[in-house]
Amino acid sequence: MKNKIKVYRAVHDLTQEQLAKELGVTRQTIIAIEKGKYNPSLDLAFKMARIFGVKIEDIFVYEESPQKKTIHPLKPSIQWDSSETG
Amino acid sequence: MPMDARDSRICRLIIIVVTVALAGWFAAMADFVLVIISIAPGAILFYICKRSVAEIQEDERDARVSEQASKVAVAVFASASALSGLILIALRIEHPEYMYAGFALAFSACALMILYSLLYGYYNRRYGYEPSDEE
Repeated sequence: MKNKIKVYRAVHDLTQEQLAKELGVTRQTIIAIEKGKYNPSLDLAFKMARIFGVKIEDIFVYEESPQKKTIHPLKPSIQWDSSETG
Repeated sequence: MPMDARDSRICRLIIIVVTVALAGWFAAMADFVLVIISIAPGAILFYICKRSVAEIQEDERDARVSEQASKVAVAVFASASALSGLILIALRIEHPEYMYAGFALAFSACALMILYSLLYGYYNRRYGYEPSDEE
């Protein structure tokens, strides 16, 4: 999984230490995430997205491993009319 | 007294070394009461030292690291002690003096695996395992 934490940190002028403090984690965790060595939990990813004011997918980019089977999106078995929901 | 993470680590290391040295000394003297008495203040001081750090010391990454380390440690210890225990038991005719050590190792491997299974079941249920959750 790739991420743009370094970019968003630069945009918000935050050091790794400051971001770690905001998120309630250690600086080592921020370093590991930035290097792509550790994938954060959903909870931490949401917190990070909230701090930067963006969506999770703006920060984290999921990349399929070439060895693994390609994932195709499932077609829903039930179709609903979006006009009925509002 | 608040201290930083580095000071706390040094402090805890000193406490461990002193406590283990004292407990070892009293164990060598064959005095179990003094062993218990020496461990108790060490444990209390260790806890105080750990609590006195204001900054974050442990987070989800540390939890993941310790999960992995525990899993590998259990696997390595259980298989190594079971195997060495069985070898020592099998050698009981040539070396009867190793037999009890062999039983101790083999039973400790069994005890560890039983404890692991019980804890696995507990945490599996705690993190949402339901036997028939399919809708």
